[in-house]
Amino acid sequence: MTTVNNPKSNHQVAGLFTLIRNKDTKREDFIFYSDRLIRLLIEEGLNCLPFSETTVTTPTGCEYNGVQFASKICGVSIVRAGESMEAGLRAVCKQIKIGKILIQRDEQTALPKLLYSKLPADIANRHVLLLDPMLATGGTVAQAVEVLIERGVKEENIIFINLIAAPEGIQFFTSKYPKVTIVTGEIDEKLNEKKYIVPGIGDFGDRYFGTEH
Amino acid sequence: MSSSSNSVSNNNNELNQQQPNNDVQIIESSNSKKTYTLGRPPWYDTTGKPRCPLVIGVCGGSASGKTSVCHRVIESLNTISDMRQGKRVHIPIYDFKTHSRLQRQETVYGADVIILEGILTLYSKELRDLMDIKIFIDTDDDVRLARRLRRDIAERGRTVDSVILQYTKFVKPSFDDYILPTKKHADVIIPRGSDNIVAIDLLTQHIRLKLKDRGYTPQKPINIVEGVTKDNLPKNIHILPPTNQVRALLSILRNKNTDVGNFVFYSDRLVNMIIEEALTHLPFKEKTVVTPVGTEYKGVEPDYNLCALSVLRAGSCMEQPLRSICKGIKTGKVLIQSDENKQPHLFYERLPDLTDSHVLVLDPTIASGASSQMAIRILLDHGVPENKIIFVTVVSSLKGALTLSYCFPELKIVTGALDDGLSEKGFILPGVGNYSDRYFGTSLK
Repeated sequence: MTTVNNPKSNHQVAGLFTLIRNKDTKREDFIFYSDRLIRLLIEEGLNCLPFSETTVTTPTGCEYNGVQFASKICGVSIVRAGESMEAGLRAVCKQIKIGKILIQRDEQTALPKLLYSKLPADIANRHVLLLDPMLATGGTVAQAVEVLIERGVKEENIIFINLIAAPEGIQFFTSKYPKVTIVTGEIDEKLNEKKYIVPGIGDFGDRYFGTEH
Repeated sequence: MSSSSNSVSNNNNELNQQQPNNDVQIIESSNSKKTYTLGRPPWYDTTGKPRCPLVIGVCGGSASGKTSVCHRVIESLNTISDMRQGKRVHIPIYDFKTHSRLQRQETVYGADVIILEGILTLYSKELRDLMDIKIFIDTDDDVRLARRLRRDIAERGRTVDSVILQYTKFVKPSFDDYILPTKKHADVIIPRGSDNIVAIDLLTQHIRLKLKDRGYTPQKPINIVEGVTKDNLPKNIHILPPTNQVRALLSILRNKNTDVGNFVFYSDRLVNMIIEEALTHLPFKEKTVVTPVGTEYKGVEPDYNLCALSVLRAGSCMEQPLRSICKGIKTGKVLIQSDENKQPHLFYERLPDLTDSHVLVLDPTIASGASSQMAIRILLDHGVPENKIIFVTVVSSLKGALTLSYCFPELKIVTGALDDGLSEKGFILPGVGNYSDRYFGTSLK
């Protein structure tokens, strides 16, 4: 099952996107408003997890038919840009375990290459929130999902959370991993000839961590 | 509980000391900060609309006994404890030493009766038109001069000659030219001033009757349209979409076994989502930006100024999530507590400059809606348009939300959940219990 959620397509979200897409936005504002957007996306992502019915007693003595979280989860961030989403994840999930995967594009072959991964030992029994703000060609995230599946994670238990996606990337990724749930903020026009998302946001990691030159 | 009559000295050049009202509601602590000695009861009716205070004009020559008559009236009225109403007013303060109007104004909320007292009170038609009762104190000229001599010599250290000179040169001619002719506008003329006990009795009895006509009955419920359920709510009530995520957070908050640490954590999380939802109701305008890739992006930007009003104590549970979303937002506070009759009282109020601002009112629960109504009334009295107020809450009773919606149709209400019940004691059912006790860990258990 694949769903591409566009959480609350509303002006408030559009306003946040306008701020972080603007090349003239100062770094501190870029971080503040990215964090706010990321938090919204993560709440949306968590909503895709399984819940079970529960009945609680309120302090007024009434019964309330509610739901409760029904699965163990962990986060996995794709280094480096995915790490910008960890603070947002921690803000909503107390004491969450977070794994990391580093994938870089091989200069020679232009293909993504796994350089490093460190994941929670019991990741196979967990739902995984996979974090990467940009979905361009989809090559990197596909490689990350491959790593997770190799470690025993079920494909349908992966929720990929990202900020901006290119249609080409969604096409590529969903054809390869149709059971992964994608939660994205906005779907952009296309990729340009340099494989940048347009209108896009530039290099998210560089802007967030202040390493642009 | 005392009622609230406020004696207001008119702005004129009379040598007359404004006496402190012995029914002071406010202790002045600085120019703008106020401390209320007693909670201020509602100064509006059950539909949220302000009630007009009874305006009484008291006129008469210098030293005719106007102030004394006013004080007699106020003393008698203060025994009426069930008459509470009024509105915020700015009172110019007159300095009798320099004979000038001071820049500073005093803010008084909610007078039941406003007495305008002064030598020229009945002079202006505009002012007369505002008055419900117009009174002229007609004291004999000789008596007035005698009083004036005694007062100015004893209390203000003047000489006999200077008082008489001032009287014959200024006071007497102005009285004859400007004050005495206004007697014809009066509804009631009281001879001999405050000595005239019969006249004052008649006057206070009449005021009581008038006040009874417009009495505030807090227990009287407003008529909410029958048959409103969660499925056909008024358009200004917005419930956070009940996703599993939201319901799970609510289940944690509602559970009586949730400890303080978890209550705070999950409250902050849910409030964050509710505030984000509330912000979507604000106006935006088109904006095109250039991305680092060099491409244009057609976006939007906020078209509003935003402030917040936290209804203490519980409203402060929502401030941290608010500040994590709205950088450096200006936040006003009001402390409203309900008495045993579930009637709200205003104990403290401190607001930022609200000019041209939208305002988010923060209070995690709406039970009967009485204190929420007071918070909104304060904003309206400070000039915030109703359609610029968004009430943000976590759990509201259906009745409370409908009351607010009915009283303030332009107001927007954004709530995390809407509960059907409201107990006799004013608890929302199933509800969350006492929100701030649970958040701050101050419950008995």
